[in-house]
Amino acid sequence: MLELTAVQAGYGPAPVLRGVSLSVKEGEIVTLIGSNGAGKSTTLRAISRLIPVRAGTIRFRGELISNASSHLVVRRGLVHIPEGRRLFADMTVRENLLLGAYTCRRSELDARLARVYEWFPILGERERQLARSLSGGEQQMVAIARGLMIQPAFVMLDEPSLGLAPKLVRQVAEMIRSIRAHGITVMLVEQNARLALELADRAYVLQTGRIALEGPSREVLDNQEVRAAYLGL
Amino acid sequence: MLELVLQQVVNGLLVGAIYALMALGLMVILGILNVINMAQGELYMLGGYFSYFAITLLGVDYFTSILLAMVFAAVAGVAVERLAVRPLLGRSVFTVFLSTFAVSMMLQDLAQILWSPDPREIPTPFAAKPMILGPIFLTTQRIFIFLLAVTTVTGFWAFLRWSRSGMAIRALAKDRDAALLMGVNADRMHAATFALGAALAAAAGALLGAMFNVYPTMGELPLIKGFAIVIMGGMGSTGGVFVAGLILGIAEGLTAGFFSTGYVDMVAFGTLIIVLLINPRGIAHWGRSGA
Amino acid sequence: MRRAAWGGAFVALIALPTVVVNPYARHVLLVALMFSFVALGLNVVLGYAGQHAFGHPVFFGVGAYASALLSVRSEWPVLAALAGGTAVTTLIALAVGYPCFRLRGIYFGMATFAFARVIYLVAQNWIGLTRGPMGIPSVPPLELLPAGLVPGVAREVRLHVSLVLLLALTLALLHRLVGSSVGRSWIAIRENEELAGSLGIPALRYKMAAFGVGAALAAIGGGLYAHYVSFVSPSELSFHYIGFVFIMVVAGGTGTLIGPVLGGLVFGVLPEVLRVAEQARNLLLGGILLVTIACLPEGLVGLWSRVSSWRRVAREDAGEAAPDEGPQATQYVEPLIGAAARASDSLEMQSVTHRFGGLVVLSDVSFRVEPGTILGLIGPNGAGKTTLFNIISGFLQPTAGRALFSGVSITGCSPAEVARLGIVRTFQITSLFPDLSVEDNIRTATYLWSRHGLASALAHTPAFRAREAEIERMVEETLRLVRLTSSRTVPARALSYGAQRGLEGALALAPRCRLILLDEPAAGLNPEETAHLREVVLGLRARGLTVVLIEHNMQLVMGLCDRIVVLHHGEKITEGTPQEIVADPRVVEAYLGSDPVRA
Repeated sequence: MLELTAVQAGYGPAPVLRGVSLSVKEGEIVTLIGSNGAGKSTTLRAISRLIPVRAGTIRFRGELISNASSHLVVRRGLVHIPEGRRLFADMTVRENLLLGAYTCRRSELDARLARVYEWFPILGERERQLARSLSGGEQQMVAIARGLMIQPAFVMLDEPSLGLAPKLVRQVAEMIRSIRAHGITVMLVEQNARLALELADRAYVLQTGRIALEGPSREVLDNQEVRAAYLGL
Repeated sequence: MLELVLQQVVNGLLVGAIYALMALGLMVILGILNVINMAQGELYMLGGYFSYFAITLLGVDYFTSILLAMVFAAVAGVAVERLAVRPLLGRSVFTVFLSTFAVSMMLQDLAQILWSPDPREIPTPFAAKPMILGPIFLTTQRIFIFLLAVTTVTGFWAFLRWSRSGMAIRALAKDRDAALLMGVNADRMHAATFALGAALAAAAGALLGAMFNVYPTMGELPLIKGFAIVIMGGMGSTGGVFVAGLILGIAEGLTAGFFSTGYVDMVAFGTLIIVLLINPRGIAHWGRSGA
Repeated sequence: MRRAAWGGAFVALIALPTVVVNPYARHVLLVALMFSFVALGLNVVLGYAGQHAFGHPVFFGVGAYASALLSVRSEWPVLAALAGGTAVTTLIALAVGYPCFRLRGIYFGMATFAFARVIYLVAQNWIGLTRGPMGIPSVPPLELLPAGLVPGVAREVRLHVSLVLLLALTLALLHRLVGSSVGRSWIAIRENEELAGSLGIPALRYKMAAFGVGAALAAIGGGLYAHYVSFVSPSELSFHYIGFVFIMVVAGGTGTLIGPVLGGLVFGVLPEVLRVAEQARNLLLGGILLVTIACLPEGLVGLWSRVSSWRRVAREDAGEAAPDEGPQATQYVEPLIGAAARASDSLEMQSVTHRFGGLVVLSDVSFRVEPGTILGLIGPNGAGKTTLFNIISGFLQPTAGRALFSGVSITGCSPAEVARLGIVRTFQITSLFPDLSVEDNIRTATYLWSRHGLASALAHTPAFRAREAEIERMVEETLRLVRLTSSRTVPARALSYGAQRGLEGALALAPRCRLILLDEPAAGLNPEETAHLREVVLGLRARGLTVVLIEHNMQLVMGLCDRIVVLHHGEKITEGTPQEIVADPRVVEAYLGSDPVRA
């Protein structure tokens, strides 16, 4: 469904991604893990076209998107739920969700909203509340729900567990499983490697801009090299 | 004495509401594109002329002429954005400033050549018959114009608050990346923002032009006053800017009443300077700082 | 070669009246010369200091009025009036600039623009002083070269010659100024104000200085103009002239000395030429401005550089200039460092807490760094490490707690003040002066010990020369240390990533500080570059410097640091030697993540 081939990208002169190749099949949960600065978020930003791709190609459902603009990628059904949630703090939950459905037709909005409220009932209760007044866990829920409004085929989550207490992390994990159960393909970037490997089918380990290791998550979890990569042992 | 004060306050409220329109147009362009549209004054002027010609050449009524003026100005605004701003994407802020400054100079001269520097008066349907409200002297014309101004400001606010495009514009201003991830087409929104800003300026021009006169250089001062109001009111706050506009109008009115009319224009700058020294973030303490 | 070119141009310029005989053309030429001063003035503010002061050209008109008023009303002799007018204008400019500099970017620009408008309105309305729209007539004429000295020569020719001489003198002085630490500081502020601050350059002071110097130059041009046309009116303060000056500076090319002069001469004829098209003056002016922006992004000067591009091509052929190969780095550290760190150079964090928008970024963080040691600061993303650096270096004020350096509290100091106290830092995202050459980058970074005042810069005193020689020595040694000697003239933006990182390190060493904060110095470096970095940092410790290091490269951290502090979610979870840290289960959990099932 998603295929990256030798992608190079970065910010200014810094070469963050030095040739990343990976693929995600329909219905999978694939995770991208690695230490800080390895380029995980950068990979997602390259896919969602927030940053330019300097070399290599990105294909989504067979279509080349490496040079497309970000709004086109969204319209194709690829959603990026960014790091740090990035909610519109001064807008209500409802407004945030509606913005998530920006590319949908007006007539579909009510149905989509209802569907999302079914999935996340708490949000229905907190509809009129300002996003900034929600707790961390609720904000993460809004961020995810917002991404699901357009009923995407593919969702990319950037560090959804960041800053959350363990109990909430469990909730987020449940949400991710539930997303897959709805038939949506998931790519997960996480610093919490254990959580990520627990959830995913397959894993890629990114190190200084390149894929150092890949395989079924079970194998990657037991792999001593991963430990070493994280702790410099 | 009191009558004079009240009279000038009322006069000032009227002018202030119109200044606020101008300022809101500047604010929205500044907030989304980080560009000071130096041609905003000329879009204001064009609004006045479009209204005038709509009435005298097309025969429409005053209200329709305002709407037509807004539409034409919106088109002009998009043209300015496409020709003078978008090609300079990525170049320095100063270059874009110079670009819109150049457009402003050209439009001024163009107006002078096409329509001569002689001032025109926009014919309005209101009788100039005065109404006396206690100690205050008003005309129906002025009351209607004030109401129109307030309606336009409210319409603008409602548009930003409740329409989908309005939400997209606000989102772009608050968190550009997040907005892009929602599928907002930034390019199209830039043009839309310029159209919106131009329409507001044109409305202001058509309204003020009916009270006073329309002439090619009429936009020079309102531009800077508009900017002063944005600073005073606070970037990103429609309410703050509106209130700041009213305050400026009243201050100017009082100055005209108690000092000489020559110094009226300086009120805006004096207040701007004071605000800069005290709190550059403006009344509403909102949005981006002067950074 | 360059001196010959300058000399030739000077002679040609002086001799112009022999070729240009038509009196009107000579008049236009004179006006253009006067406008060169104004363009030079705007260029100091805009081109060198990088401050977008849109309203600055108004000081041309202010200078005209000041000089005219002093000579007409106070009956000062013309030369005295010129000097006095310039002084008055400079003071006004400083008074105007100060509140404006509280703003940034376009807001600053528009504020200066608004002030320009106010000045215009004052001139129009303060009839008692300025006679309002009627203007000031009969301003006494200018006689720089008295007729008696050179008999038989027409007035315009005398004026022309004296103007060219004055311009040459001004250029010579400006050249010295720009080549001194004053000019370097201006350019540093333009290129990267944040970095400049961290290297000890007090931004506001230098911005005000640029504003003032620029205003003085504009005032000279205005005063000359007033005494030449013998009439001053508010139109000299109007947007028309502001527009002219912009075109000159933009078309000529900012950031060079020759640019505004070229622009002034070529486009100074504009006001006169456009008088023909009376009606459409602004239309043409606006059109020319747009064309200039579109076609001459770097101005005439840029065009010239592109024409003589063979030099450029050779430099760019170096492609991405990478660091030199060479012997071990440590031997070059020795002469670099001034006095060894004093025993009292400890850094101490006392219960530092920082809240931002409801989030607790740092919570009660305390630790101490012993002088002459290397401390590693590690922790997952979002742990607050860079925030801590920002607090130490003065970019942020903590919500609670404080930082002490050598026992003295540095909380509340500005970045420049912190640098003066002896602490320098690098930034997480590569921070350099992109358009300056490698060696100019390093020269600029020596500010703290190499700065000199206006007077010595202009006069080139022996002290000045000695200091400059010392700077050059430092540049040589640093270039060798970071292996960039062969790339010394390459602009920093054209360096390879590894080389840029090396340059960043050089900039941290140049100020000769005693404590260095390195923010992810190994990010993006290949193993060979990382090894070199390790050598350099070890060499620093050997000379007695104290280093605090944020890093994610665990191998590097373990092998380099004497002690390590671990942050997680803004709290210090532990500190100790590398061995202790690696064995600590809390650290392992923080990095690899907790098991959500068992948590």
